[in-house]
Amino acid sequence: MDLIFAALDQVLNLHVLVALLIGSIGGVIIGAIPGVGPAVAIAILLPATFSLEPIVGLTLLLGVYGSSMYGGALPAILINTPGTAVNAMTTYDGFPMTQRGEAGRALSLAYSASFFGGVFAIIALVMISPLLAAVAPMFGSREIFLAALLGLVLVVVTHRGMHLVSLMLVCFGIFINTIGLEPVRYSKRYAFDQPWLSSGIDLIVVVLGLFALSQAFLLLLERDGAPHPPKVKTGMLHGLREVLRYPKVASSSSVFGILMGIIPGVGEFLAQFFSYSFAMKTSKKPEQFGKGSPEGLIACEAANNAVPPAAMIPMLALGIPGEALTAMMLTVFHVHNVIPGPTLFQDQPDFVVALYICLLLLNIMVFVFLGLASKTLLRIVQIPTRFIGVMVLTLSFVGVYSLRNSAVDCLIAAVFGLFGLILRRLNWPIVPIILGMVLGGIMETKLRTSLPRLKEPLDLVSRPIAAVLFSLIVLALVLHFWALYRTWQKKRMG
Amino acid sequence: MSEKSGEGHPALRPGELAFTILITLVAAILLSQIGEQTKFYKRLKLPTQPGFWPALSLGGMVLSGVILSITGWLKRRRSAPAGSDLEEIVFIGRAVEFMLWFMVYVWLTPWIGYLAATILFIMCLAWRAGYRSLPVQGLCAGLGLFVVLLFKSFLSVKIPGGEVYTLLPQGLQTFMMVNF
Repeated sequence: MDLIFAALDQVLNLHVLVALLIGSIGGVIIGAIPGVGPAVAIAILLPATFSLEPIVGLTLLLGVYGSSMYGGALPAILINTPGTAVNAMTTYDGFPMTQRGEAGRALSLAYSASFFGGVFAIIALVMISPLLAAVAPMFGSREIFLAALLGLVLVVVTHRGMHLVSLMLVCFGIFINTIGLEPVRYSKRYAFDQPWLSSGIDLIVVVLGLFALSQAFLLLLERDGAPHPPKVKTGMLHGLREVLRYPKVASSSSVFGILMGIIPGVGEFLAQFFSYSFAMKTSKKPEQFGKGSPEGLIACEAANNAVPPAAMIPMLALGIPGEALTAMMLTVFHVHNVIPGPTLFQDQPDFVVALYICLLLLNIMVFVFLGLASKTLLRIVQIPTRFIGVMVLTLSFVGVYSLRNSAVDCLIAAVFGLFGLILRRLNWPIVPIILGMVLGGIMETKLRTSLPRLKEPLDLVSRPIAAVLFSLIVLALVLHFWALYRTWQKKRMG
Repeated sequence: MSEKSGEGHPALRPGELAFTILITLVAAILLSQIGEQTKFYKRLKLPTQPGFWPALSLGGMVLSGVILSITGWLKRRRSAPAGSDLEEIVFIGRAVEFMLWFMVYVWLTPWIGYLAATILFIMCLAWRAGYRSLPVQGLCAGLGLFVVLLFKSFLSVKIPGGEVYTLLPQGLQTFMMVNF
């Protein structure tokens, strides 16, 4: 109880509450604009949060992260264009409902399912926090190295049909991170005697280039368009009642979201994919899926909104981000000298609980906001795409330039923007580069510090948790190659 | 997170093979510099060598790039991508214009100040994007002011004052330096 009061003491502060309000409402608005998404918004806001208190800065970013999925459902349902990449499957059943004149019902269902998923995940995390606090200290350098390696392996194997591309981009991310002074002996690597390369390439510069600038370029180059969504009338309580009529779908999807969020390198898309497939298999009306099934919509939205709270676990407990957004948030921790990792749950449990309370509050705020402002949000969906491009390019400048007031950083970001644009045009994923940069750095430091203490290479996996992680890596690879073999065999059989 | 998860083997896109070969070549050239650009110490185990991680990552890029290039070439022989490589290169080349717009904004800010540079940038870029009516241009100026007020005045992000502010009287100069 003392812990909760200590956490509440941190949360019930005007700055935190204002940051939460701005972050959550801003996140909904950003999520509702097709082509922007939380990654762009967080990348832009990141340097601005460095001057704020850690809990305030994190709350702002957490608000954007946790609420964007709510907003992303709006264009997915009304104009068949997902606001964020993770709302892609929401279009399967959301848009058919709009076509048959049930847009209001679809939106209420989506928001209510998101609310259910978010709250379910937070409650589950609060329940398992004591377990995490007990297990996290068992993670030493070698366990963290293996957990990061597991994350990278999963990033590669979960990109179906894109494994080699993902592998190449993960390796590219690891390479970018090695440029400059290395972390153990401080010798220069690939600096080519250039002072601007000696200090390395900043993660935020790369993130802003790959996510924000590339998106701005794309929006400015594509044909201008301003969609006209239909008028809707939402009834949030009615939506919540309808979600509760499908408790099995809502809770199983939330569980999928939690599991996929906890595993580094997986994330919302697979959570949606698994929960949608599971809901279809267990449904009494599977034929309705893809044609406007409320169960399908609930499965997608509950799953993707359960991911953000769960994705905080590997970041807070091990210092390992599971995806690009938590990787960005990790930098805020480091700037404020709050080092996430095994000792955080023991040394600052009130801080962790405060973050969970913030997540709970933001879900409530967003739910209420959407109930009141859905009609106003329809105007945001109608902003012309090129105009959004102009604004994203303008805001990207703040993100990059305010880091070190360096024109070179801006040039590097612009080059990465061009690179990101090529990746987007080729439909290649961007996330593996970011995770390669972050997890590659963690892996190098942890391996180089743990290896001198090992007598034999097998000692790396001699401890129980290390052995479990190693087994998971082997299992992921075996299953992956088995699936590849099966696909090849099916093709051969014709 | 996984933007591509759940999809089958995608068809080759215009420019994909050329881009893959380019990345592979760049990675191979960088890998060939490993001896000069990194250090390998005697008596250190290979994974603890400073050059190990760059070598591993560049090696991984080259290996996956070579396989991707070969499979891409085979795919291309079976069926050509929908659209030409040249059209794709022209499309990407058009983005260079906006890169230059961005760099001009970066170059202008320390001279004329964040406020003037932002308003000018938004208005000119919106003009270039086709929004030329007076109300929209007015809206752009307002948005520029809002962005500067939000980030520089309220969130105090670190953006230096413009050189032009030194021409202003002392009191106004300090005010402009701090807020705009």
